[in-house]
Amino acid sequence: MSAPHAEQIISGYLARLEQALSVLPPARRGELVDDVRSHISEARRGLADESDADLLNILDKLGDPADIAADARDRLGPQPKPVAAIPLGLLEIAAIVAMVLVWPAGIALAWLSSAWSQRDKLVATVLIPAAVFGLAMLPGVASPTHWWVLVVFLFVTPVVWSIGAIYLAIRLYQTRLGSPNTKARSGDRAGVLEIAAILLTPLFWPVGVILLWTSWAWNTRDKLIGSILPPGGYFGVAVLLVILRTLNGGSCTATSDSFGTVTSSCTTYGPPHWVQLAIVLVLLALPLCSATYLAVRLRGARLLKPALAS
Amino acid sequence: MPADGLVTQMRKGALEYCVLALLVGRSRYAFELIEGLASTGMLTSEGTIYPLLSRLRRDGLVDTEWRESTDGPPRRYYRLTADGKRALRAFRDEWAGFRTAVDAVLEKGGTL
Repeated sequence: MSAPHAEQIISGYLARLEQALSVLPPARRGELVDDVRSHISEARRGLADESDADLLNILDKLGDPADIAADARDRLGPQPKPVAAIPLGLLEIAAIVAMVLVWPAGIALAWLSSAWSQRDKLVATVLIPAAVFGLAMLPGVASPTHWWVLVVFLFVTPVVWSIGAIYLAIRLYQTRLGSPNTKARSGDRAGVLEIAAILLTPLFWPVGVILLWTSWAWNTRDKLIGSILPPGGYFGVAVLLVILRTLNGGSCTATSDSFGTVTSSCTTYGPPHWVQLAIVLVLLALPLCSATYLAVRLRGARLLKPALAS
Repeated sequence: MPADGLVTQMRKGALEYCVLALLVGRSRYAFELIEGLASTGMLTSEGTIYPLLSRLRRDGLVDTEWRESTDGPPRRYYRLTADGKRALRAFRDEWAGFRTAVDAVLEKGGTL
């Protein structure tokens, strides 16, 4: 039989523990509270007929929530050493850039770095093969019959191709964001990194996007907008122009019937000229728009800083 | 007393290896580990075993497995990993040397 105030005593204790553990990441906190909760029920199992005093004794032996929390902070809290060990060195930048340019080399470099967890490395390794496979499975991609399939394909390809690099860059950013070492954040400064990111995002998209994510200057929303708006950048535009040109050739087939009459039929599946023009214009404008957006946001962040400080 | 902090730290550090030592040969659940440590006086509040176990798991020195129990909900069992065995072995050697060295000096000093 439960003690008269069992519910009250136990939930009060667990609430105090949870409160005291608030400095820990939610997952660890939840795990510890669960552990302690099952400890209490395990201890209660040994009691034939429990009283409130029995429960209080169990909790006394468990210890003051503040003591458990202090111990947990010591053992599990953010440790200065791994934080200092999260590098953003040449190796990491080289790994991310190589992911786009020479995929196997990028993977190899990523595995050499200690900046990512095993899981992140695994994900990054399988992302591109998985994405390419997924893309190839899409209906109509293998033998496109409509010009718009190709246009969509063209938009998606650079994203797919850089997906591993983008993933690694995002994870690196998140890890550094999670580190309490706020001194490393020079969020309000327009450094070389930020300028390079703005310039390279429209010109050579994958590299620009990676720089964008490694900077502190923008928030996650800005970074997403900057990454997704100009897929491929002007490099993508150039590829699109080449593809549109080949498409316009179309194909002709000639058949002759038994009377020797030759009928030829031609199919062109290129888009109408005005559509092509519109696509090219949009593609030329988009990277410029997002670069401008990033620049404006950077300036906004810098202007806002003194206002917040005062 | 400055030595007080040192003793606390030593006890805390050694406790990890005591837990590893209790796991040699068979896996145990937290409650059993607490019982195993009760006589040592090293575990002043039982609840601190949980951050310790979490830490050991994070460091890959133990892994865990849920097992059904005959008289209640499943229990999480802790088991020594290869890394855990290696760490324990290294600590045993280190500890033996340390103990001998400190004992030798303390005894040479004579009784107060």
